[in-house]
Amino acid sequence: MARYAMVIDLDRCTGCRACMMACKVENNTPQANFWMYVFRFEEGHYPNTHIWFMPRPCMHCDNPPCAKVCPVGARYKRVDGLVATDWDRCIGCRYCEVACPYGVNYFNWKKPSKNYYLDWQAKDVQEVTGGAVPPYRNPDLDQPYGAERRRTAGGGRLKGVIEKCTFCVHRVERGQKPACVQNCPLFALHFGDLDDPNSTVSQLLRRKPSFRLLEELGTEPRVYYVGGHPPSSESHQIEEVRVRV
Amino acid sequence: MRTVLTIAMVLLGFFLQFITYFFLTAPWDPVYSNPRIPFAPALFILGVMLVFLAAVVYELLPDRQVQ
Repeated sequence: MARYAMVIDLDRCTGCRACMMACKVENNTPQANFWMYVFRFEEGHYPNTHIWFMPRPCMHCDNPPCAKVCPVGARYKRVDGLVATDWDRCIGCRYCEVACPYGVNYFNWKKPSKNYYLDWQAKDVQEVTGGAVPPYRNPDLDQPYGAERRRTAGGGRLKGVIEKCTFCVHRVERGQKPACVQNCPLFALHFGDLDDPNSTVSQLLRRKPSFRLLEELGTEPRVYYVGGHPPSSESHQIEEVRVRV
Repeated sequence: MRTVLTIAMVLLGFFLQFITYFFLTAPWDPVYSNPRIPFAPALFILGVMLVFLAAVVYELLPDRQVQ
């Protein structure tokens, strides 16, 4: 069985946020919910300043606090390492949101029902599309996945449930990469099997020193960062984080 | 009667919390990614509810009639 992980090369990331948009389109996430978020950090003092960017998906921890507090078993760890959410079983208690130290869980306060990622009715958009409106739902998201055959893919389905990054389980099970990895123009994001020594993630982790976010908490994240350093007290965001509603 | 029932509920509640937290969920233990038995966190919540409901039971049940 594969042991999936993501490696993010901070040296390559330019903060274009194509991963954020790709995730939103692929997974139909509601407004203001960014399962993948790119933080923009600034360090130092003028004129010696340094700006760097840190994409942050769900960490898919090996010791996931969110799965251990879920009272109904809706949040669970799959054998291949993906931390999944069963939308049909979630009761919206938001315990996982409290337990997660990374802040990657998003609660659907309203029923998501429109194309949030682009205003298709806007005049300038219609000039490009000719008035065509693609279907809101990605049909792949409605299928059951995993050995458990539970509906865990995508978002924006129900009001009153928690959603988060799924590592694009619907794509991974077809042998494809997650949408953020596939659409990164600078190949800063890598996804693969840690047990395969020839996979890109294994090679990168052998070649470069790496770190994981909040490793000291013992959550054992499956997202590794190479080519940079964790945010410190010297790092401050150059814009207000607007990932929550 | 109500004292016995209240103490029993408190003890059972704390027992449930202790067992589920330290043995079934074990948040510090990376060996088990999921709770060891399904719905273990629900049992923990049940334990918390039992402890708080004990006070309600104590207040609602009638005290022994004093002669």
